[in-house]
Amino acid sequence: MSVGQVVFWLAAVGAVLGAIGMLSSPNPVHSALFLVFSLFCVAVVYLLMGAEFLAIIQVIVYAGAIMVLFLFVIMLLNLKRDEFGQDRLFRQYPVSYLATAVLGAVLTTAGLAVGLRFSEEPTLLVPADRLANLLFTKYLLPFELASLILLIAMIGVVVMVKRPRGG
Amino acid sequence: MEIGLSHYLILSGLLFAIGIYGILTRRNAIALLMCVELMLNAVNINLVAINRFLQPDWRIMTGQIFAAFVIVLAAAEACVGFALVIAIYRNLNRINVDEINLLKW
Repeated sequence: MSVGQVVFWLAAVGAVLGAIGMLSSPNPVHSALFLVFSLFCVAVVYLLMGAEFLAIIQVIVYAGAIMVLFLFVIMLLNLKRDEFGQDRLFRQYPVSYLATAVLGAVLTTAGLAVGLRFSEEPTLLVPADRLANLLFTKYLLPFELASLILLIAMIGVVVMVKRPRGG
Repeated sequence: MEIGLSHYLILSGLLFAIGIYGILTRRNAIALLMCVELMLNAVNINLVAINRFLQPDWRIMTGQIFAAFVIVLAAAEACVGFALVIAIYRNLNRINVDEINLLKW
């Protein structure tokens, strides 16, 4: 096995185990840490596909921004273990097992059905300036719309968490 | 065994199924947001993998651009979601989504 394959298997197993750990951990902080581990493994997977810029963005945005947000909210709300851990939705459990099994089977079959398409070219790291060229020419309108969405999200967050005056 | 498109698609499918399971079984709003992040990442793996393996010209990378936009939207969604959670917790003192039924008749 080449180095790339070893890294892929490590990252894939790490991502899936991190996701399972996130769901099974009763402690909210551990759960958030498992989630970040899983997302970091996904960043490694991006890197294996040559998406250098996306891997960096993934680490910065998820490990840097969203992770801090998760921990901040968990600490702020002071969640208890029993409020976060396994829930008591008994009637929903069979349905959720069934839905997860069916969805997992369908997606896995679809993944197998495309066959092992190997790329002829070796994986090249896509340089970030090429991505920037596309982003600022062909995809300029979506780029501006994304900035607008971030602005709206920012204003909405401030409006929603602001205490009413005199209340 | 060389790593092909199937490996990436199956990895993404597994992550998506785990996220769906969490969404269906959890009722804590923070756990739900975590599961949504996981599912968005699964979709991103799909976008990048299909761009990598099915696009003969590797200079065309629409998939990666789309994945970058998905990351932007995930960040915005997480911010708004947490603001909602904090506002609801402040007003109703609970964050289990099945106990929040003000709009339910």
